[in-house]
Amino acid sequence: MIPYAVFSEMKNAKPMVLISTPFVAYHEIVVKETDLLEDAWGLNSVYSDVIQFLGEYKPEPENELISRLVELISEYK
Amino acid sequence: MNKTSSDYELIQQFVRGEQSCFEEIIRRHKNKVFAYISLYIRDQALVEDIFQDTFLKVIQSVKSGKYYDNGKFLSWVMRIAHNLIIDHFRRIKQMNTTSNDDYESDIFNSKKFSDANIEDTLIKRQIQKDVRTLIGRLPDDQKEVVILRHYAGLSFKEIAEITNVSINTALGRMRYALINMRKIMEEKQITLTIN
Repeated sequence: MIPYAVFSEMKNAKPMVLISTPFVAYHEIVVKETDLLEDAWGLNSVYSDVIQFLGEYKPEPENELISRLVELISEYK
Repeated sequence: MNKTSSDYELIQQFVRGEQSCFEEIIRRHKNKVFAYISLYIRDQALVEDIFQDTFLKVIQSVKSGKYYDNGKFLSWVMRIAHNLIIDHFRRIKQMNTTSNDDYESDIFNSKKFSDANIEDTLIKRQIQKDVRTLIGRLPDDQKEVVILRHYAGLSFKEIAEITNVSINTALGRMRYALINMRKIMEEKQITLTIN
């Protein structure tokens, strides 16, 4: 209550939350898909054009191949 | 089987006889393993063979109790794929046959391209060819880091372990690779024209 009392006596003062960046708790920072080391080196931001280009190559195995593999696995003893 | 189960839990259930658990493992990792192999080998049939062999070898090792969980199942699978690729190149060298680049059929000859709009397909094909060219021009150590990070989806910690270098070295190689690729893109005037 002490800070509020102090603020209430100051004419132009506003509560911190209205004039500053809200605090973010650690658990609110989503880093699941982020490699923090890579992030620290700034690779994704500095070379985003090259990385986006790399992302255009998306080879996928065909379903037939997967079916054949599953069949092979079922035969595997 | 629970779809949110960890890889290790699925492996344990598979060893106990639940076949569908290994199918879930394949479903989870198939694209990364396939992309990894196809960036080293152009011949589609060979890529498919090595892809199958990788998972069969995984099963063999799992069933004989050679896999111990350390939370790094995918990097272990990638190592198996990598060894099979190396074996393939060794065999070629021994036989003294033509290089991998001489293969006529490649990954882009797959059926899925025939169904889509032809113009889009051609643009896509060109971009994918450009990406392969870009990666193919990198020195081997840089190429490896790019493939492991962007196609196999490994973290730099895992990449450092697989390639036996420090994390900083792996990150440094990636930075050089990105610089080199940007340079090649500028020289060859390669741009991203598809969204």
